[in-house]
Amino acid sequence: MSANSERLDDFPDRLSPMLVKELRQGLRGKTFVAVFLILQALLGLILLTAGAAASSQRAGTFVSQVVFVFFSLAVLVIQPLRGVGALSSEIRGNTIDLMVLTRLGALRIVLGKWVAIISQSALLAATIFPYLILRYYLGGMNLFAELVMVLVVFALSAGLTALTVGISACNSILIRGLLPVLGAPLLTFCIFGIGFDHEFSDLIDACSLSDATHSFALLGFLVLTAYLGWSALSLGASLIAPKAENHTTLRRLIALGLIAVTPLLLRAMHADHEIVPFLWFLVAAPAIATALAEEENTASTIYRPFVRKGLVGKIAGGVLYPGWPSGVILTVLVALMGFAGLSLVPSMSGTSLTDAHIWLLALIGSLLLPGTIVVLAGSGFKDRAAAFILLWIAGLVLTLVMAALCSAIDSPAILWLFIWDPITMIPMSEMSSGYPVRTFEKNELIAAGIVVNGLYLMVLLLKAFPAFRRIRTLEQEQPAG
Amino acid sequence: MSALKVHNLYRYFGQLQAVNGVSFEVPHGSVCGFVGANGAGKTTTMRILATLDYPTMGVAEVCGINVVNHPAEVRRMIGWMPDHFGNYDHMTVLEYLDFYARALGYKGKERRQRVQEVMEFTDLVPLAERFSNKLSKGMTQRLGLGRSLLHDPQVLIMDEPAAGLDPKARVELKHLIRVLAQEGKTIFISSHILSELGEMCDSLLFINAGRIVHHGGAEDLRRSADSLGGVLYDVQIAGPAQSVADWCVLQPHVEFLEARKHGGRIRIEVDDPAKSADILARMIKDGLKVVEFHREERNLEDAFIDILGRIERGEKDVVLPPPMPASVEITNEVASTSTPA
Repeated sequence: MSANSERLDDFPDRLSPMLVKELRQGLRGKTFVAVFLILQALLGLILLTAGAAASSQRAGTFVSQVVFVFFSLAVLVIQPLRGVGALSSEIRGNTIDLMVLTRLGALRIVLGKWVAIISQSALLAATIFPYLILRYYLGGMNLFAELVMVLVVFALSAGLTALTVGISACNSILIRGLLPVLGAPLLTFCIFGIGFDHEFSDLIDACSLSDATHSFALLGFLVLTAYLGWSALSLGASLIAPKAENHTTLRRLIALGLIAVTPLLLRAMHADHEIVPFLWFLVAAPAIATALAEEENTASTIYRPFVRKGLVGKIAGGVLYPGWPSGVILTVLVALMGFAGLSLVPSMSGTSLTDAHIWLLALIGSLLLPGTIVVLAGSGFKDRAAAFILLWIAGLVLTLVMAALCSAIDSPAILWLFIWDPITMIPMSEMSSGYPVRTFEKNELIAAGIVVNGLYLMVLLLKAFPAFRRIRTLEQEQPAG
Repeated sequence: MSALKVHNLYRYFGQLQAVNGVSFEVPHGSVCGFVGANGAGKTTTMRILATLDYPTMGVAEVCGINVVNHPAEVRRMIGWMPDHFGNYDHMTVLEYLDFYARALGYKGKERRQRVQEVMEFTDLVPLAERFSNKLSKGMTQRLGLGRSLLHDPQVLIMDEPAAGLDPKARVELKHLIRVLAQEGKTIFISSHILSELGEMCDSLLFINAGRIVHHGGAEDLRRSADSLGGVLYDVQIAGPAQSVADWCVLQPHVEFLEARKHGGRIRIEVDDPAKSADILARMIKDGLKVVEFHREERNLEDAFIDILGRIERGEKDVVLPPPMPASVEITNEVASTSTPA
């Protein structure tokens, strides 16, 4: 055997092939090396400068801020951005098919891409520990809190990287372009804003986990980040997998489970019901978006496992089969679970339940509108997932612009004209709070929300009905039991 | 049992009928050429056989295993070589093959051995440390062939492997395919270059508009086309080449086939030397300054064009597939993979 072949043992067999490939490529790439060296140079320079002024109590905090700002820039902006081309380059190069034909499978390909970037981010995280230890000697440091903060930033980095890697499977260059063009500057602004402000101290305090609320909040943050990241990776896997593979059912099951459990946990933690619509949206949005944006999938292998489980399997399939028709049923179920969850969590701050209902209706509607357009357009959209996301963003931007405009010209009633975009109900709800003048009646808003959302759901159900007939035919063709 | 078996295969993309009732079988250890114009349905059929797409209806089997029901088993039996594939930045030829060997489940010494064997077979050893995205088209195709052979598949499905290759690389690829055929592998290969397929294939499968229009050996095909009658002549003249085409329009039993630099290629419908001599005499009499007039052998391209022409004129029957059952509704992306009753 040649010396060449012996060189192939640079990575052990137990590592995922995808990870080995990405690490071989990534560690030779200029981006990682450049980020690594620049981060080290900057941190070294700042620490030396601060060390010179070590007598000052402020120096320690300043070093912490600098370390976290530059570390966050590296792992929250630059590293996730590397994921933007992760799958699209493979799709362009026609190499996804070649990989799918091996034992890798779509999910392992996507996970490999993600883990490769994350492992490099972990390397960056590891290199900041010496700076934190040196900073400890400058005094005034809550070491535990700052270590937890590193963990939080790293977890967020993992979530954002999962998002970019998952979305990189979208054909739409627009959606992939939005991340670096809009997301990166926004995130950079936030990092500088928080890092060099008094909010940094608040964050450190929160990370000290001194009370149960902070601990629950951190746990919730980690679970939510893991869920959102996993949803994005699963979406990426769905987009690159052969049509006969099912990556949808597990994604929907996890979403349903999380939506069911969240209100119970909030109730146990004595959280206020105001947070329910917000949390519902974070969990439900990826599930509904991917469900309504999925193409109808009638590959027989998809239906076989459900049919084998008899009537229960078929009923479950109505919600869990890949494709938008079952996605419509899932949407109905998830929306109902949102209202049920809202009724489970009591008001702790004395706020009205009506506001939470309006928010929930608005958020449900904001997902139904792009879903209906994508379903009605059918094959008009080549990349349905990207179309859904772009339509949702467009709806949000429209609402923000119109709300600002109506407020500026002091004619908020004009917002009624935009009620077809139900997220408009959120600024309308804020204007209905009686300050300075009560503009909208809350009951009217709820009625409008029910009508508009009901209309969208009706359209979706009417479109889904013929598709379900086709699905029934396919179910009958499968061998039972 | 056949290495490849396709029965009443349909694949619709919305209203587009990419594959329309295709049926054929390829025996074990044979080389079968798959021929058709762009958009005829070759790649779709091949992708279904490679488990990368799924049929709207019908059955496709590799070594008796259904590609829809058991894709994982089928993937272990096939080597897939698409018409084009990208290579990776910052990855050498050796690492490229090692990645796929790992992905196929090879470990340790066996993995290194497979990579080495494949590199030797495809003559990639001198290129081992070269970055895979810096290879020429010919080298890339050899690398692709090497990748598809890593797990020693029984069946190789190659979609236009010779497209874009220079003559030298083409000869090299042809040689490798011949060696693989001698080793007993079943090779299903598509190409636009019929003469090359004719040389290396045991059988040829012609597809047009999603339907098989011929399946047989290269010689059968030449003979079947000859049965049309007629012979081909290359006519060279001193003067404008267009004159030959213009002259043919006015002549009965003479068809102008193809323009060439100094004349063209014509078909005389009756295979009779005396008749050909008459036509040459008429040409000269009509003022064409003929400098060359010689009979040409019919090649596979002619045969293919003849078959298509005969189908268009309704002189040849295409074996029509059974119609799609009415119960199968066509949606944007419908795929009922059941066998038609």
